[in-house]
Amino acid sequence: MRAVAGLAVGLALGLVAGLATPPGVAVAQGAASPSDATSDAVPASARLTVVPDGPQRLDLATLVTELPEGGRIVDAETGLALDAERIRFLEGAFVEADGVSAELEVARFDAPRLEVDLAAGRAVAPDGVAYVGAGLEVSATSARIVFGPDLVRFDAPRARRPDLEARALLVDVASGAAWLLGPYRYAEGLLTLRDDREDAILQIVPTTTDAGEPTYRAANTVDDALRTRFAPLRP
Amino acid sequence: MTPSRFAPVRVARAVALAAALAGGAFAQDALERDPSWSEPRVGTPCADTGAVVELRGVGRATYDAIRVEGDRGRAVLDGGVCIELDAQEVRIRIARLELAGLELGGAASGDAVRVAADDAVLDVDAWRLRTASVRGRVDALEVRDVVLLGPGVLAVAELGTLVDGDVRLTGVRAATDGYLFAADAAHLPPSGGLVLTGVEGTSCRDCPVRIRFAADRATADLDGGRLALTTPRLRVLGVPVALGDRLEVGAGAAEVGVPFEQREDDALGIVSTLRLRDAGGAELRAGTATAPSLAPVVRYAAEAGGDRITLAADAEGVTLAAGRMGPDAFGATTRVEAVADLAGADRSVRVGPSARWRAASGGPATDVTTRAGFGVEAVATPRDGDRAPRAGVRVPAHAEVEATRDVAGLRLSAVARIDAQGTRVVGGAGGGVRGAATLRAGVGRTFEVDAFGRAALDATWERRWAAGPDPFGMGPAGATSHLALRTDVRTEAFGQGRERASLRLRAYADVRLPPEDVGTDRLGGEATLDVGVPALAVGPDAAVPRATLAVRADAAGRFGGDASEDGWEATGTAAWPEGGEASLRVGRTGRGPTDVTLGASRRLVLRSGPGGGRVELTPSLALDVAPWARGEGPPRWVRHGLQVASADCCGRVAVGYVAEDGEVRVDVRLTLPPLALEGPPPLRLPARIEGYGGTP
Repeated sequence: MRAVAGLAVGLALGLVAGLATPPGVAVAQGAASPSDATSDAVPASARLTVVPDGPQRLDLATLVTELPEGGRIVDAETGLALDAERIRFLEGAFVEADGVSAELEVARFDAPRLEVDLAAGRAVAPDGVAYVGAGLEVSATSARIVFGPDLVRFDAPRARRPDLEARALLVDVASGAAWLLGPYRYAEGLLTLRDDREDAILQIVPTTTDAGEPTYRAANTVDDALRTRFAPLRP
Repeated sequence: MTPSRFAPVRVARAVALAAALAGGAFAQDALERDPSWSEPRVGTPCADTGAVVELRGVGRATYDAIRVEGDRGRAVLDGGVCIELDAQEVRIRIARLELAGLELGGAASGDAVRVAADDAVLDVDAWRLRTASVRGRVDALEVRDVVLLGPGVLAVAELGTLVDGDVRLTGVRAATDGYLFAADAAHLPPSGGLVLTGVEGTSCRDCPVRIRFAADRATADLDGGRLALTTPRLRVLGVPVALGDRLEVGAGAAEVGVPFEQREDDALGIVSTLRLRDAGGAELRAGTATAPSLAPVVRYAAEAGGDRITLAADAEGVTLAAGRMGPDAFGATTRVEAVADLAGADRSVRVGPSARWRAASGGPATDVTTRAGFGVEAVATPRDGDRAPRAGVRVPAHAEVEATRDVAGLRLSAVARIDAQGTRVVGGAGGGVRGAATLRAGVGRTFEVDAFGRAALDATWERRWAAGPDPFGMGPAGATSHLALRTDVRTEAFGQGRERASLRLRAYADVRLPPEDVGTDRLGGEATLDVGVPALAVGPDAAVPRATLAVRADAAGRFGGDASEDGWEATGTAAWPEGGEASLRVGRTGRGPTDVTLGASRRLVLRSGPGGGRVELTPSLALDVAPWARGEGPPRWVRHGLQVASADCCGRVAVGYVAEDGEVRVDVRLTLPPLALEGPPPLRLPARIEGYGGTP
């Protein structure tokens, strides 16, 4: 779950702190003309750097910027490097990226499409998502991200580490706590926990052994605080 | 899922009962079984849906709530926990289960998983165990303060283990509808059933204990609904009785083979003895003989490791014999025997060693057995009146070869034997053929030829017709009406002109009358005709033509007739269901006077207790009134007898005698009540320690 948290943190920092409001945060671009322009990496005025791979189009009527050949968005503070094959964004409003892959220090995130609602502080990967990182390898048919508090919902996740599948996986980025929504299957060591009921929930919380080994605590009774926190990700 | 918990009070009672039983003191009432303990039914599988945890190498469990603490290697399951183990047909239902030793991150095996739970229900085969606590490895559990529920059985046990589906309990007390048992240990094998060891018990579950029994082992066959006691001992009204090797009790009343024996002896008359046997195998038979009147008879035998000692004392003399097993030598077993006739007309002492060989070889067609032996015996006879004392040595020896072969369903045998005694040698040979053929439709033929000093040929033909719902007679005994004809032809040759042949024709019918209750309201009849074959009927053993007819009506009476060259007789008996009987016999033997015998017996209930206990007295007598009718004197006693019986929940004990034609016979009967190993367990387990028998 730490890795899940890392993924979400990266997304949050890269896509919200960098692209969303507050006003005045500069998105450095190679060119800001209404016409197509091609430029090299453009140093960001703030922590983000947008590096288009090809032309960059700014629609003066809508102020939507499009990078039809994609590019890279780099967050200087976290090291997040989000590459996309095509990017559209409007400052303070949204970012749409196709063929997205994000590189973290110890993890990789891939999604065919990522849609960020900067105003609402939410993001969606509607066409599937794959994440590989320390302690977690999960793929899902879709993902939703809520910023502040940072929460992620993977729909129909399948993971090899830990071995799980569920109707949905909800992750609280800050604590690393997660819910598996039933029907689910969660295997760890000797144990495989299953529940075929739609309303079943398995809460797993990362912890460490006395020897410092990462492991989990799991229970099918959930914390009320976490229930409240995950409310935006449900149903 | 329904939580299956002990009611705390029940648990406390069970625990207190077990503790009290162990301590030999009772402060608690009987254990009252809560009917809900049988819910859900034994064998009901754990839920297949809902929350499930699978423990690799252990099994699966369902629950309401689970908490897994990977950092501590443990898990806690709460609320209607139901566990099914992989390796054994065992289900554990429990309110709360704690698992420890879970190596969540590694490749640990289930062997390390440990269980700790209270108030658990374990289903093993047809048995349900409710335990106050369960501890240990999940494949080797220890249980404590157990209540055992099974087909017709309610029991408590102090401790137990459950290993690979094998349940072993100690400190066991059990009750069925009619019996109470205590056992050192109980075993519920995976193959089913129940095996008790170190068993004590009583059939007096709900009445004063008059009958106690003990056995080395008791094996319950749940399918057959029977309990077999191995090496049973009995104590009836305080009298210890050895019952032989095995006693079975089941759904029907069990007639116990009381070791009271009567036999006729040429010199001693009717010998009546009671056989007593101790745990070491020593056997004592003590009783009386009628010749001379009520002379004591004692037989004692003890054997251990092949060594044997016997003592026989009666009016004929006293014989003491001792034998000791020697070392095996040259393939032979050796013994040293000493026999002393200490009283009587043939006082003597014989001492000497002997050796015996036996070898057998079996081939595809023929089995050959050889036996041989020889001994040296010193014999000393003391002075007896004018007879001088004598001493000598005998060298008995024998050798024998026997060959048998099976040919087409027939067994052919041949024996050659030679005996040597001093300078006298006796040899002989014999052979035989024995076979049997049984055809369907109730037709059978058997014959036997034994040429070893006697030849006999038997041929039997039987045909049976049956009617009713089960015409093939596969139902309960006597459930159908039937008619049968049977023909027996027998020829025997004894040598020395003593041959005889006989033909017996027998027809019998058994007709069931409505209502069709088995055992009652039946009418049966049998007619037999025995005739000799004149051509072969020579010598004193020649068959005498004889015809008999007997008709019986259950619970109503019977009558019949018998006629032969020696005389004739006609008898009639009327019976009453409550135990009375009246009889009339008219007969004549040879050219003697006609007998007219009136007989009667009547069961009298002297005392009937509120619990169903009763004491019965059944006198019987028969008088020949013909002399009185002819004015020749008073009626003549033909028979008199008396039976005293005590019957209650323990069973029925009956002791009686019949004196007829100058001979007295004693009858001792013990009947135990039915033992039901089926249906729901009893609701109550009596607490009183005396109810569980104690060592007889």
